[in-house]
Amino acid sequence: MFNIANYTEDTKLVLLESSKYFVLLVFCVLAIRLWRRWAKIPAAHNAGGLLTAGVATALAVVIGCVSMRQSLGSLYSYYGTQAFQNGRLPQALALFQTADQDWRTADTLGQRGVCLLMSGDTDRGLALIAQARTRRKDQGSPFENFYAGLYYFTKGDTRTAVPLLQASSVDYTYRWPVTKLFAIIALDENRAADAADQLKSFRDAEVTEFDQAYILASLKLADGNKAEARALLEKFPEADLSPMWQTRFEKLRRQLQD
Amino acid sequence: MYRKTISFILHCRLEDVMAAGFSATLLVFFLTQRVFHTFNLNGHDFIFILLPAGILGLKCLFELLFAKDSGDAANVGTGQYLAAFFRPLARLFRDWFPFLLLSACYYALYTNLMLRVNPRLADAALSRMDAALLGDQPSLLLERWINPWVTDFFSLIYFSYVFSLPAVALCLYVARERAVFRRVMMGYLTLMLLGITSYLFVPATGPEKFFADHYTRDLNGHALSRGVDYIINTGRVAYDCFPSLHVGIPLLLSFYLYRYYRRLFVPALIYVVLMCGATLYLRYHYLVDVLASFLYAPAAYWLNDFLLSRWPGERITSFAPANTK
Repeated sequence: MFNIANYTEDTKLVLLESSKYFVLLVFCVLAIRLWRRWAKIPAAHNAGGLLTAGVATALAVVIGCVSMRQSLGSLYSYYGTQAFQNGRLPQALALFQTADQDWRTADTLGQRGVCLLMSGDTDRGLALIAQARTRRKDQGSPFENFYAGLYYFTKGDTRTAVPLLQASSVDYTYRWPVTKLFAIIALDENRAADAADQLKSFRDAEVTEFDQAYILASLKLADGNKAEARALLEKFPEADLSPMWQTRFEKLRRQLQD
Repeated sequence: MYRKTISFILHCRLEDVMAAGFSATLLVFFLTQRVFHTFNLNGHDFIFILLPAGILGLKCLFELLFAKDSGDAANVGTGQYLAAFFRPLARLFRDWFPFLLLSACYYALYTNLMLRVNPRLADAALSRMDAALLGDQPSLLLERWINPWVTDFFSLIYFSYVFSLPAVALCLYVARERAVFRRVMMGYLTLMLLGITSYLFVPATGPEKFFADHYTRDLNGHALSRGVDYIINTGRVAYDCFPSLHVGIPLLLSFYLYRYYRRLFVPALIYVVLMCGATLYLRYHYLVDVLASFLYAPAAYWLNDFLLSRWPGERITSFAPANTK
């Protein structure tokens, strides 16, 4: 379905696709005209006429193949992104691989890399992300930066994670998750004031995510407000959390009991 | 050599010279500012002008596909045959490209200079003028008439603006009124230039954002209105309030219609009136923005004719006689 939120990107896509297929149409019509001329007009029945018609046809075929492969690459990449956002990693990886086979770009490499990274195949994932960066002259896309940063964060390597997360926050999509991750890093380093500063604008926002609850509960605990901190933690049953978050929540619960 | 160059420039089409001048200015601006990495040229800013050009391109291709080779085709060489094939497409490109380039340049300059020329927003001053004229804000006064169907209707009117100029330009081009087509396109770009200059000096966000806390009723349109609102809010460049080009451009087109297709003048004026209502009802503009467009559109009409009549390479106004069809 047409995603209106990406209106500007979609407009660029429409422009690019229309231009590609318009050029293809021009060469198709030219090839048809040239073959018709060659077949019907005896004067054009020569090697030059045949060659021109052949070249025009070959150009139309090349433009057609390139255009279709590029379009299919974009399409599979789009569907891969949808699958990734819905948490269907194997399907996303398969779609990104197909996109990469159709039309290899730095983005498709990076997307495959992120999928592998999230699936646990870290070496191949990081290698593909590095290849994508090399293709972009050492620039990562916000998508790659965010997930690579997230990976390093979960491994406890905040020194590597912070610049990547910082770079990913140029994209509006990742600004809020990055803000939360920075607050968590600050809390882990016992810099509660910095964490509070990070979340200053969002302190009154409704708590809907477990990481948000963890940060706010930690800040409430730092303020000495144990009851509110406990209420926040109880909103998210331990069974629903990933092992990393279970450990953090458990640690916080112990601090509340002390 | 110098005189030859000047003479060549003066005998080019005005839109070519302007497009080349603006592109060069833009290039110098970005090179000196070193902000290429933040260069933002949004396709949707001129995609609507590209639409008629695309339609004409397809028409041209289908004509080429179904056209029969004349007897002369046997006598011409392959090179000449190819040149004849590409000539209509090249002509289309030649006629439309300068306008597309100019439109893109204006938007690029505008989006990159916004709030750099004047960072102070003029919403307070504009709303004060509205209050002095009507006693209150028009969008607040119109709140009592809010109805989902009215919202839908005005949203449709407001959005139809993007097709008004391309439709007129397409009709003129198809009717082979090339001189009128160029005059209308130049008039449109003159108005755009005046409007964009004004936006840089008088930036304003509009009543929808400025009075967001004052409204007691939501516009409450159906899916259509919400879609249009989303497109406008994501697609438009902010701070483009004074004057309202949504009113200015249809008004300018109505002047040209009065001159060339008089029977379309009254429907065009009705459209302008509806557009005035839409801009105020939908909270996109202040009343003074709408009133200002009634000064900017005639100014653009006059300035464009003045430039075209004085430019040595042009005789548009003289060879495009009035037609009261």
